Amino acid sequence: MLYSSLANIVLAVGRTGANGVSLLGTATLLNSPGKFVTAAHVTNKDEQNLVVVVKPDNSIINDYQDTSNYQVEMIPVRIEAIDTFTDLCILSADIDAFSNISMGSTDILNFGSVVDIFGYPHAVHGRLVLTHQRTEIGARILIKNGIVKTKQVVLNTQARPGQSGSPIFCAYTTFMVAILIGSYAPGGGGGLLVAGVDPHTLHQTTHAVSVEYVREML
Amino acid sequence: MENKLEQLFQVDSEEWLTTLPRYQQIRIKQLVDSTNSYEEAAKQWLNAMPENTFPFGGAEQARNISIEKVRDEIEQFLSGDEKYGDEHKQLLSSSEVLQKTLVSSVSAAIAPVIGTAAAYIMPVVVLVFMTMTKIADQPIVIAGQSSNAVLLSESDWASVQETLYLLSVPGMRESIREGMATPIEDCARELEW
Repeated sequence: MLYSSLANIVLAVGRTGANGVSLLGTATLLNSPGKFVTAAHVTNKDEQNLVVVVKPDNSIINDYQDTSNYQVEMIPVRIEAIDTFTDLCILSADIDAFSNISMGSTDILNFGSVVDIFGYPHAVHGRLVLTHQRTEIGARILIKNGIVKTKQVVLNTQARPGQSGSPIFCAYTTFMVAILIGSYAPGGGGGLLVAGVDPHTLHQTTHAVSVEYVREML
Repeated sequence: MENKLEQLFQVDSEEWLTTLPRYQQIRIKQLVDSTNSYEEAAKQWLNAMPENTFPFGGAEQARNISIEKVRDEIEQFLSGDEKYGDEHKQLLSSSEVLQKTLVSSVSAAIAPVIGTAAAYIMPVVVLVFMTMTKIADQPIVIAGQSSNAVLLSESDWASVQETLYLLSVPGMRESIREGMATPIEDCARELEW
């Protein structure tokens, strides 16, 4: 798979309301017509007025993205499958489009493996810029959620709100291997906020869950 | 609840699990096995969140849904409450109502009222139905004018018969009690029979 096609595949997720659309996170078009994967918490488990957001003039990833252009198209989506234990969600739209993404799993990564992240950092503040980050795997970890433990990886880079749901590609194979879900924060964070930012999240320990669980949900 | 719907609860409670997609069947089975309680499993499904992780999506306040709210809405649907009148009527007008149809119809109807998605609430609906099926397995007292009668499930009747048989064997009760009181270290390591 070539990264050049990702501008049409990696899109933002939002919810429409009286004041337009509020951006919530990132979603990726899968190799199945009309199916997107994102993080479950991005949807807040609620599919009412949920959309994926397309910027029509940004179909080429290497173009300059005009941050003053707020013209977008929206595709309504519904929640087809959701598992809050893995924090994964499959969205479904009435469209025929699909991608040529191949899915692997975090099993093919080692610590030090180079990965590429594509997503919409700061989307929750209205910024709609598809952004690439290249980083290394810091560790492979198991994260507990109730009685369930899921395979995740630590990405050695800082992520920001809006990047949840971002696809992580193994740079060597270009297989999609994980979905970004958040960052390490003792107790889940959300306590002390400084200018709207939780200081516990300002570090380079970002968590992503293996996409092997996505296959089970399709 | 109409007879057509009541019949759906005359099954083994685990059968409801098969109405879920495979990935949810596995997850709910794990929860039921670990908690031994359908209600506790439902609570764990509703409160799941990865440990020590700050989510980077959604500016919205995380939605918490209570099992009590889900149960209330299910009861209103099954009793044909006005709120769910159309969906309830449509379900009953079907020539054959299957367990899967009931789970899908109830989930689709109550999800927007609760403010969630049918795919998310479906396992909770199944767990509530599993609880209702288990309750339906309890003995039913039939009140008569001179005396009452009790209606038992076949499996409960077989269990009672088995217990009565074992207790009718001379010395069996004492032998069982003695065995239960024996510390594990005093138990025989090799059987001589």
